Amino acid sequence: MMIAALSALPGILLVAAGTPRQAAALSSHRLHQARRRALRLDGFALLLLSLGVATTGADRARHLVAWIGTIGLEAVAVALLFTAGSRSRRT
Amino acid sequence: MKPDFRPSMTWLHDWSGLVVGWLLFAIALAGTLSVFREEIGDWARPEASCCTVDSADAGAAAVAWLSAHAASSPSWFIQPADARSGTSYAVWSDARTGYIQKWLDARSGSPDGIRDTLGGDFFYRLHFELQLPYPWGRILSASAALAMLLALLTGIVAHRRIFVDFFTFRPRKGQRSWLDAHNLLAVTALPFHLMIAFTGALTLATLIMPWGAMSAYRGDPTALTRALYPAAIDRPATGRRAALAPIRPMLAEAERRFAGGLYQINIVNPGDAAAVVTLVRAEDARIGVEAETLSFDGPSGRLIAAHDEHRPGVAIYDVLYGLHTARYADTPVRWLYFVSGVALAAMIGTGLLLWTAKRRRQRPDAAHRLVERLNLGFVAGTPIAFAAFVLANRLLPPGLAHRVDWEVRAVFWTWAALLVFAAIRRPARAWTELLIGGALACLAIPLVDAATGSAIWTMPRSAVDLVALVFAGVGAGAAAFVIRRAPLPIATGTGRRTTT
Amino acid sequence: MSGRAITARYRLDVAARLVAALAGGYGVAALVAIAAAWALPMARIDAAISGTIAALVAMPVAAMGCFWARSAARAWIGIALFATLVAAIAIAAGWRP
Repeated sequence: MMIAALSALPGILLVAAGTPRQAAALSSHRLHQARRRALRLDGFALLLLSLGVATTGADRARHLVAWIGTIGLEAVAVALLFTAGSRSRRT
Repeated sequence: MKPDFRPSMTWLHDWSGLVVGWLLFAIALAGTLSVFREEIGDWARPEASCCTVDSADAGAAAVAWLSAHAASSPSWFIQPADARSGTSYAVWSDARTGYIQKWLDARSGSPDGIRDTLGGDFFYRLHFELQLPYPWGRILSASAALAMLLALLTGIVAHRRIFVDFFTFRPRKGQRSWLDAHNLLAVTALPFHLMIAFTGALTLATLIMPWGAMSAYRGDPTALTRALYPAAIDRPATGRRAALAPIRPMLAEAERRFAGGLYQINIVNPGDAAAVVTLVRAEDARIGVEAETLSFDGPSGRLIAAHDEHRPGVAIYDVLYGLHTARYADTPVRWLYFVSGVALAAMIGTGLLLWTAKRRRQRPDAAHRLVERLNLGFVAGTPIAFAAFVLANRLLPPGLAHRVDWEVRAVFWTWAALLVFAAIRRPARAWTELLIGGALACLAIPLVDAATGSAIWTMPRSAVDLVALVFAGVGAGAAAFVIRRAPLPIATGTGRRTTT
Repeated sequence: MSGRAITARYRLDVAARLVAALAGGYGVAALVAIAAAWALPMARIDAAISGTIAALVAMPVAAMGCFWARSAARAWIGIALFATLVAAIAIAAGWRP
């Protein structure tokens, strides 16, 4: 479960980096749409992998619930991370 | 009304959210606290003997006590103490008062010596019964759950750039920031919000939407109950007295057969020749309430019915019910429920604040001022009212008569006072004052705990004190935020402190 | 909805849609539960539960429809049509009101 939670975080980071507004926060020059889409796909692939790891073995349903809750928390954390990042770039 | 889907759904989202928002905020907060109702219950009953308990021992002790003190009651329901709850919970029907509920010591099975309090169950019952008589409280909260579902669905539709905006939070931009916060809290925990709203309505479905089942069973409730719970033998009392067989062999049999622990012991007509003892499995192995039950003949202890739920429809209902009550949850998942519940309450709160913010530029008439005051009273006041319950648990003398009623009264009097305060005070000032008040109330919890000498500084009991401190910190931070920088999205004035 | 004057006619429109959504929506949902309980090809208890679940989803969906409709009259017509359709399914499956 820990592995799943940890591998979900970079997945969410990649998906966020592939979102236009957050991508702009990362780099000064605009990321190409194709590159952003690639980032998003890689991110979702990692998330899928993380989901697979989480739901192996016994107690599948319980782990699925825990995984859904965890990625929600991680998404908030990533959002706040990007917020802080974009503010420091602007000042 | 334009036929455009998005604007009409936005309108519906705004209005359905407002109408039910204050009630839903209280329900969400109470429900979030009841995720840890047994832990709060343990904290609230420091006199009960603590720590490692065996469910079978606790169950046997409870049955013994009830045999001595509730022998004439036709039905007992016992939830034995387990890893999460240091006390056993017993409720039995009573000819005079309808029903009596008590928390029993795990070792002695007796409620004596333990202070009379609802503990965490206050928040649990409040969130679906709303302290109103049956069935009105439940009907109201079920309606609120459906209204929440409507608000969620219309919110999803109304959110134009849901994927592009997914990770967006732009602070220090006034109303924009509040909307970003509302959206972020909504979309990141959206699976939870949808699940909890839908399953919440479903748990009350037998009350608000019984027509399908009643029609299929030709209006015969007994047939329906027998179909739903095949192992719950309900046979009428014979009138002949017969002692209940020892409970321990039955509990041992359950331990042998159940894939999980024991959740509940139901005894119908104890002391009668037709007594039935039904044991319900706990949810540690699988998600799903009432999934496995065993019924024993009371006087002889012979197994007369067993049922392991595998019928698809009923199993799905059990799982959905189980997802809402989260009894299956181990500690990490339980904390996830708690954090998601706080996010839900915060989403509702920010939504209510946005309602007035969106209409700030218009002339604030009496209706808008009313909404503003209710926002203040409910969003800032409800946490204080809930803290009052926790404080009353420690401050009221343990031996006080009608202690349970006094604790509940403390909550509602506090709530009423805060709503009056919100009605007469200027919002800009009142927000700061109530947020500080909330922080102080939460800070008082561990202080009062230590001062009354009831504190038990071991985990998990002291978790209540720690969480109270965290909430105090959040409240203080929010108050500082309001004082220093935020133009609060309120209808009257700019919200900025131009004069003191 | 911004820019619309709050006239008596507007209030009537909203009120009519509200009643359609609440009363009409509840009625349609109840009929959905009954129809599913009778018509679904599964054991009675499973069908009854599935119907109840569907009914709870139907309520907010019906409300959304009532407020999306181009007029309050259309909202009511929609409710009536759906109620008739679902009732017909139920009666065809053996229900007698």
